[in-house]
Amino acid sequence: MAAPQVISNSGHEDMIHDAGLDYYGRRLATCSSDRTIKIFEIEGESHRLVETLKGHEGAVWCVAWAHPKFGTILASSSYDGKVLIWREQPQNATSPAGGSTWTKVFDFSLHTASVNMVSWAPHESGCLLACASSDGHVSVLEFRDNNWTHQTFHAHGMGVNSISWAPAAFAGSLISSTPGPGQQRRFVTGGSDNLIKIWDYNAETKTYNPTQTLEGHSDWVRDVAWSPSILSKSYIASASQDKTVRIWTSDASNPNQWSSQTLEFDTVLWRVSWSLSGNILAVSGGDNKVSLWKENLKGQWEKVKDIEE
Amino acid sequence: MSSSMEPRPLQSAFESPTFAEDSSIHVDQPVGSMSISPCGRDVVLGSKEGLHVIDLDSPYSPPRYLPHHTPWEVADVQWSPFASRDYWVISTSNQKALVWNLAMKTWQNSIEHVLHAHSRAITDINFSAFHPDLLATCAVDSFIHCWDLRTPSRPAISFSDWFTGATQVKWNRQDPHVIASSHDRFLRIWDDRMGAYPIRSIEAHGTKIYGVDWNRVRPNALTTCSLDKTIKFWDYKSETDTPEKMIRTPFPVWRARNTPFGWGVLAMPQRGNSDLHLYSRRAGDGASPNEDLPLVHSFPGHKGQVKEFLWRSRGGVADGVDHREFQLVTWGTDRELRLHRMNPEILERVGYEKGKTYISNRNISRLGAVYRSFRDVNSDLEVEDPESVSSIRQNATTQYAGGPGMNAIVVPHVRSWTRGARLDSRVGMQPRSNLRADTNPIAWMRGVKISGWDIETLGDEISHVGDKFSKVSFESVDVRQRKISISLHGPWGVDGDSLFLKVDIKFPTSYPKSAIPTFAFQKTAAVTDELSRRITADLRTIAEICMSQKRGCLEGAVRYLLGESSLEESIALVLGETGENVKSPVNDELEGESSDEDEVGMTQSQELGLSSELLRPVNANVMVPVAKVCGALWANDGRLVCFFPPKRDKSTALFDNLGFKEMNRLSRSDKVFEGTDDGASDYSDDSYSETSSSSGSSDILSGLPARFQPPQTWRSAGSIGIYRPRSTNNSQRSAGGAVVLKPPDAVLNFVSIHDFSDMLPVKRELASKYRICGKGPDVCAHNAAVALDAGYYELAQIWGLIKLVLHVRSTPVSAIEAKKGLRRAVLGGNGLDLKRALPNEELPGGLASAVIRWADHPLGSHWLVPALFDHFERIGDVQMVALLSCVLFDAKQEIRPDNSQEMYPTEPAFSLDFSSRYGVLTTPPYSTGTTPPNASRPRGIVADRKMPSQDVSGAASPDQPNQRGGSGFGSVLASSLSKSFTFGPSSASPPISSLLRKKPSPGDSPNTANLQPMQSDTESERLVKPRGKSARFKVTFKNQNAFDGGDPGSNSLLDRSKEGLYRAYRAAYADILLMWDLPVQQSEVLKIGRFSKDEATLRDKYYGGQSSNITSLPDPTPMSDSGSDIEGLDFQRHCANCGHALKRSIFAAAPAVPETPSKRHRRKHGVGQKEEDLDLWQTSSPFASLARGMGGGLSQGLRSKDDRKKNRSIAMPAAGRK
Repeated sequence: MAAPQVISNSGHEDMIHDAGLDYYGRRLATCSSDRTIKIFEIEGESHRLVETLKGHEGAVWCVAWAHPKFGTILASSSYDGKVLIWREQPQNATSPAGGSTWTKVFDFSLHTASVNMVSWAPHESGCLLACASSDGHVSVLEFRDNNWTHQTFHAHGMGVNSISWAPAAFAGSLISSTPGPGQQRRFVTGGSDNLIKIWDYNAETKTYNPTQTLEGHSDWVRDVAWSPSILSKSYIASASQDKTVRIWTSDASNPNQWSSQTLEFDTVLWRVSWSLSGNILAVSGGDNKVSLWKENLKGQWEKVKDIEE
Repeated sequence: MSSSMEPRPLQSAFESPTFAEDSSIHVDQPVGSMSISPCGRDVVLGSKEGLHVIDLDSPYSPPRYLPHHTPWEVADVQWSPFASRDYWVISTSNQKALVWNLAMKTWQNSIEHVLHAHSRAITDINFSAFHPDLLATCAVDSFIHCWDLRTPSRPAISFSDWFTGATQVKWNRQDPHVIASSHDRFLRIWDDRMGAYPIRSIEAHGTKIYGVDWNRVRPNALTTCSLDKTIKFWDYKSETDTPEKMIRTPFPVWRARNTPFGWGVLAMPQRGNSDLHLYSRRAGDGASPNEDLPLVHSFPGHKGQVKEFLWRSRGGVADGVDHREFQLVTWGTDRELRLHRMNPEILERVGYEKGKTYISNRNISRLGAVYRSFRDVNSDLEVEDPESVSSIRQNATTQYAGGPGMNAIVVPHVRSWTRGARLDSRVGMQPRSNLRADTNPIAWMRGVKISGWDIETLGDEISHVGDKFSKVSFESVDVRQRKISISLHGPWGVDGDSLFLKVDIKFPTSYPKSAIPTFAFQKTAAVTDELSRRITADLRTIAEICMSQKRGCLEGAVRYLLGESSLEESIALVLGETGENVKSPVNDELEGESSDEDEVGMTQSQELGLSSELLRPVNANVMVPVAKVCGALWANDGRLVCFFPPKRDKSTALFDNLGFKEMNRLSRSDKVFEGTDDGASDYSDDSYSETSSSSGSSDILSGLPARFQPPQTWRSAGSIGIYRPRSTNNSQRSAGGAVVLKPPDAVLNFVSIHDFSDMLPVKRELASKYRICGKGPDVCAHNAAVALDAGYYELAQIWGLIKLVLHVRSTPVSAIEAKKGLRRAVLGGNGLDLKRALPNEELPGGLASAVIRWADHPLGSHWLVPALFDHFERIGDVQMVALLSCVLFDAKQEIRPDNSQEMYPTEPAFSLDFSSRYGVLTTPPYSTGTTPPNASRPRGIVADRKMPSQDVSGAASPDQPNQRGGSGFGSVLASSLSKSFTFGPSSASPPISSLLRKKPSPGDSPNTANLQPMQSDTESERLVKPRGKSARFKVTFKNQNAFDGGDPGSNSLLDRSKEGLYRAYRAAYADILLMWDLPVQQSEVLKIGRFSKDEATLRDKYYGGQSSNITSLPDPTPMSDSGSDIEGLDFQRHCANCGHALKRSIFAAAPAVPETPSKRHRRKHGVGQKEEDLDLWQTSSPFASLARGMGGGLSQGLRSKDDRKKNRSIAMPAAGRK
């Protein structure tokens, strides 16, 4: 493996809390306690800071790129309780070399406490952004017919820490003999009540309803991630401050039956992330180490790599 | 009653509704300290967010909020005790003291001065007891500065201990020159006439002194307290270092102050006890002098450590008689502001009785203070001295730290000032929501509890309803005036549209027992008189029903207004209401998030056994989890983005060098980040408090652990929820500190991007070379070679296997052209029957397996194929599962083009016999409508007659012949190709080729070329449809069909029931391809199987509505088009959707036209009806040119007679003539 590309001088004046490459892997967005978001152009081994977005009034916790079919869109969420949606617009459409400007296209500030995570739905479902807030609510913003609409509902009593969408066509829905009506919108949330909840969209009532509650963690659930791989099994990983990562699986034949395996660590855990293919799980935690985990053919999870700064 | 307390027009303290009550107010703010206004009506809470001025007489009114965001705990806040300066409040902000002028109108300029001379955090502020402009501050830097606010730029006098930081500073209450300060264990007495040396030093305690207080009467007497669990009474003039008296307490003492009455001392524990304890300075009767002084009373109430207490008094001294009354006001870590009613008996026990003689030498600076509240911004007071205006301006800038002008301010220790200030902006933990929370009357009211107040019922009801209905905005709430104003959206518009309503509700005093509120709607255009009358009438009905039950009607009214329940339902609810089940029936019907949340919240709190205050989700920023400073996130392409905080050893070294003691604390809180999670005990030790610059913060922290330790879940929830966020701040602070201290280009965070794509099963290098479309075996062979080249032997072998499976299957198909044509003819002959009997897709499968029934073979769909899928699923290889489904899908429908070209003239063939490189370029949409109709039509009409449509598909690239397995066919094609070249331009091709040239295509000539061979190919097939031959083959296939007829579903290699899954695989893989910038491959993958009806419905199912509903954000950029839609055939940057849709609609909507005799023969061949329709349509419809442009017409336009001859001549030997 080639040496990692290191951006040692991010320009951020404070801790970075999230980073993400866009769909094509050409741009990197980082966000920080310095209340800014920075966007880097990644070309090969080189990188270049192209933009600093300012607008949040608190530490920015999370950034998320939308699918490019909606445009170059970035969503960010902050301690200030706001979700901002940013969009890049070329200044001059005809000259590709010409600069582009980032503008804030939407400012969602109905949460009454820190918004800890935002997550775009699979693009097939439409332009949907789910937001998890410490005020205990989840909101789903939808851009549709040139308009932003939102739904907010209570999710976890002591605050919602994380949210992750299921792939648009997830295993259970594909194999079941009676395909569900309409598009599948389903996501999972993790909260400070130590619970994980799975939510389904009911197209008739147009509401999101909890369909499953997964119990097992004994401390705050800090992150959840639904594996994007469309396989006959669904995978959800959850990272908790109880120093475990749980990997929840459900079989296509029995989509509502979740069983979990526990990976134990020495430290509180913060993030879990699935690779787009191959179901490799990246786990990061309080010891500032990153490890990669993979299920072997016997169904056991093995650490395949350790990464330290 | 009191001469000194003039009865003001508004109120005096005797009219205070809260003075004689126990009450509590919840203030969800990180409050560090508290002080009371001279008149005793307001208290000010100093928090990290700023100042909160609460009118104790109007507790339901949210406080006035003066923002000043700071990451530092507010160590002290002092309201000037002078009646003449009752607008001044001093608060600490780390090493600065801010002088607020509450009489100023807006918060922007309410900081009148910034007192800045300390280099470390200020720990205490004390106003002189004699001069309203004098005050003293002391700080961790060991200095005591005395300030004259008339010249606030520098301290008037400074003292320093030089060795240890000061914890307290107090002016003597009787002697204006004497100041006491405490430094660690030492008490120092200073005289402002005596210079830099203390006039007396006493080593007063065994551990650090935390509280100093002068006696209110005796000029030489003072009290100290310490964590060594003692309170000591000194006379500094006495020569001995022994205290006059001492109280031993069972707890470490944080503060002990003499009561303003009698001889009491009120002691505040530092930890271990959340009550306040009143001791008497005088020994009980008959007690021996050596005995401890007696505990008189304890004031319970707080659930957390008490952090500050003060006395609220009213009345005064008249004619030497003391008429004062007192109320104790306390602030605790439970974030409750409590007012304790004083029982006269308790006061008596410390020697105070109302109406007794007054000790005259007491100095009361508060005397004559106007009884008014600064909660409301006063306008009657002006800024007195013009000088302050300039300083205000300066301070305004400084307050907005981080502002560019800031660094320019020249002040001593500017560095540390900027540091703190910039941190301020950087840390960014100041939520706007605080401002909001403050101004949200409901959130505020919820926290207010007043015993014995009638108002409470109304306040409770309002706050309860306010809690419940998050959609209702309570614009103003005035519990004292008993009126509220709410606004909401309810379904009152035309046709039940949402309508904005604003309602003023007044509650009579006898509500809810015997009166109903009045409802007044604010008129808007949409709210007609008639509507408001109707609603009002209904609301009155509801209210009356509620009144009959002696219940509040606000909830019912709001529900009704929101449209959540009709009038009847509302009444039924009220009448039938039994406890909790009211909500549930309503819940289900409506969006009712608000009520949902209540229930969820409740059950959870029950489960966890937490008190509701701690679970309160509003203002829940206390619940914000510790920030993540390290993370790893996968990018789509197999790279892993990691970010790490700065290396710790580096930063701590830095901190050490600079000698910041606070950093000890900070690095300790770092541990929380590190996850060592060493629990709370760490925070309660003394060293922590010592290093703590702001004494206030430590007692919060130390207070909490004791509470939270016992139950494990508790501890985690509690400690994380409430106390960790603080640590977040700390460590962020540390980070921030580091920034400033480091050189500008300092490394703070590490972001690294690791390329782990080799760990992923999905390979771009393979994807770019793999073929997707084409003859199964060839594709497999090619792909096997690709995999082998790239070194993926396993994949190569698997491709080999599949090739074997497919090879046999497709042999008959690819054998010779003649056979193919014949078979098609046969199919045509049978087609009608078959089609009727079987779904379209089944047909080819049946035919295919007619050759070898791989589907039933263990190496087919019974075992091998599922096993392969299973394996690749297991390793998460989206690429392989998608490709397998592509290849096998092709295989399954191998013969389909022959069949379905009749059904869907253009599409199916297109989807299959499509060369990966060039084929796409013939995608119909491009040529749609751009082909000049005139050029192609005449020709097209003729051609159409003979060989309808279909050809678009072929898209045969130069290597197409090979795929077809045609032996000499290729060469023939080649020649036809060249012919077409020359011919093309003369007919329709010029516009087309020029069109094509625009596309990002490998080259022009192939484009043009690929139109041609395909054409000739299909043409040959088309022309070769001899009836006679077909008869011969018909027999064969008929048998086969009959044989297969029993289990048509099992014929395909793929499990039909999983078709949706395979589709999803392909979609996922297509996504990956798009991301890899391989749009051609992406289109191919998406194309597979798109056109079966089944697929179409599937597609609609999964993606239906999406393209129409969502395109991109407003004012779409080119980028927004680039993501290729699932609709498929488009590839990047071309909007294929419209072309596609057009095509589909054209064929779907092909008008049924009476058949003409000329086509009858073909019909007998079993050629689909649609083909004929198409013919007719093409001659008749003006849109035909469009269709031709898309494909049919295009190729036909290029077709020449020569070509046809050629083709015929090839076909002839095999198929014969008709």
